[in-house]
Amino acid sequence: MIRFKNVHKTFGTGDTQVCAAQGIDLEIPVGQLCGIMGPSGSGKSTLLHIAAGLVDADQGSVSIGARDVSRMTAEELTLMRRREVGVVFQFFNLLPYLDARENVELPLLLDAVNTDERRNRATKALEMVGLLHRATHRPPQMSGGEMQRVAIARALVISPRLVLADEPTGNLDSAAGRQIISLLRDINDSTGVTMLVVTHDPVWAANCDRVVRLVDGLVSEDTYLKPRDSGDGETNGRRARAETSGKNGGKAATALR
Amino acid sequence: MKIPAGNLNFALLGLVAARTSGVHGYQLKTEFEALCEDFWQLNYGRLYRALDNLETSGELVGQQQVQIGRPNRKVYRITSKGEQSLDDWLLQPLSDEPRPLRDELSLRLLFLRHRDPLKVQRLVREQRAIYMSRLARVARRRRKLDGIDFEATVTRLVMDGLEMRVKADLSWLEHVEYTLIEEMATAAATTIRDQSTERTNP
Repeated sequence: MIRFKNVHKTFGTGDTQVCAAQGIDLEIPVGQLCGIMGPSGSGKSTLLHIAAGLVDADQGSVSIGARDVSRMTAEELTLMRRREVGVVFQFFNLLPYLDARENVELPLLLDAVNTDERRNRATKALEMVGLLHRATHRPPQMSGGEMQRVAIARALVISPRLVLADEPTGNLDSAAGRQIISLLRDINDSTGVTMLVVTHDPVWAANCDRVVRLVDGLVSEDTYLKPRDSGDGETNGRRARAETSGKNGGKAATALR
Repeated sequence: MKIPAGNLNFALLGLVAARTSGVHGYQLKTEFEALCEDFWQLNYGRLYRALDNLETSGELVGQQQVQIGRPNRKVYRITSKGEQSLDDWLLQPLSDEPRPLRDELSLRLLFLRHRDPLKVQRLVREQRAIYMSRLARVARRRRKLDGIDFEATVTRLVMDGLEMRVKADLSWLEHVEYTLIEEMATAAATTIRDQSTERTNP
């Protein structure tokens, strides 16, 4: 589970001050695919960056499982990011001079995992995103959708407890975006990894179990979209309502590892 | 929603027509659900009654297929009369226009606006949750369609259209919310200014 408790964050000072979070309270159960929506400047990306330990909160706490991210030392944070949190960015952030497999192996290389294991785990991750046949291709030889698949494989290769994605379809055409959406949905269904995804696109958000809407650095709406009776029933999904967090059971956790 | 009998017949004719090698009842129900369950529910009783009627009217022809170790089943094919009925139905003008949800919402906003701004905001938020739930249903349908062996281009186009409309409605809702909040903020600022003027000039 990831829990944000009264999280505040302000950027800049004086006239240029921007309040990105003004007391965000949010709990995301293990295994949930949670979409974060909201107008530009509402604090969506800040929330994600705080969860990843890339930005410190001014006030409040963020915990992943039983551990308080806001109290971690820089070293502990680095280890957590390297071993437990997979991040997917809008602009892929792949190294152009490495091939797909090498890009995917990168987080394991930083963690001094031996060559054979690195190779095996990268192969598995590329297989999971349906891109094993492109393992030896470099990013410039790939389409946007393929590059995002590699980036997703790179996020998954560490068998993360949490995947954070910031506008993963924002830089893709609609067909490629749709494929990435269904890939993330499938990965969440099959592995039960918790996912927090920032998006502007309601069509993508509609694939989530739950959508949280931020306005001016606060949670303004919290909508459950996953029917609670069964995997694909319609009964409870017919009239989704704005609700407070914690009412949905969430799925059982199954770590990738 | 219960499917009107006439439309069910045409939907079944359409599904059978797509399978030149014939199709049996169970397969028809699966395909019907995958393609139409957002709009209509169909049970086996109604399905087989409709198939019997279409057979009696000569629009479908059913042929018993012998199965070893399992009960026999009937495989249906479309007749030329059935093809003609399907064509006539497809080409006739639509009897009613689809009505966007926002028509009713506009009406309610019109009467709510000067009564209670918080109720307006709640209405907008509930409406957004309904739109999101509608998109979520389409998303589930898409995932289901990906898993069936049936050519569903038109169903996908219908879903594309639905998504486009809901996206436009959601943008409009955001615009409504933004405009009304701004209006509320302006009204609050005017009240505060008036009150402070009264205090300084009693």
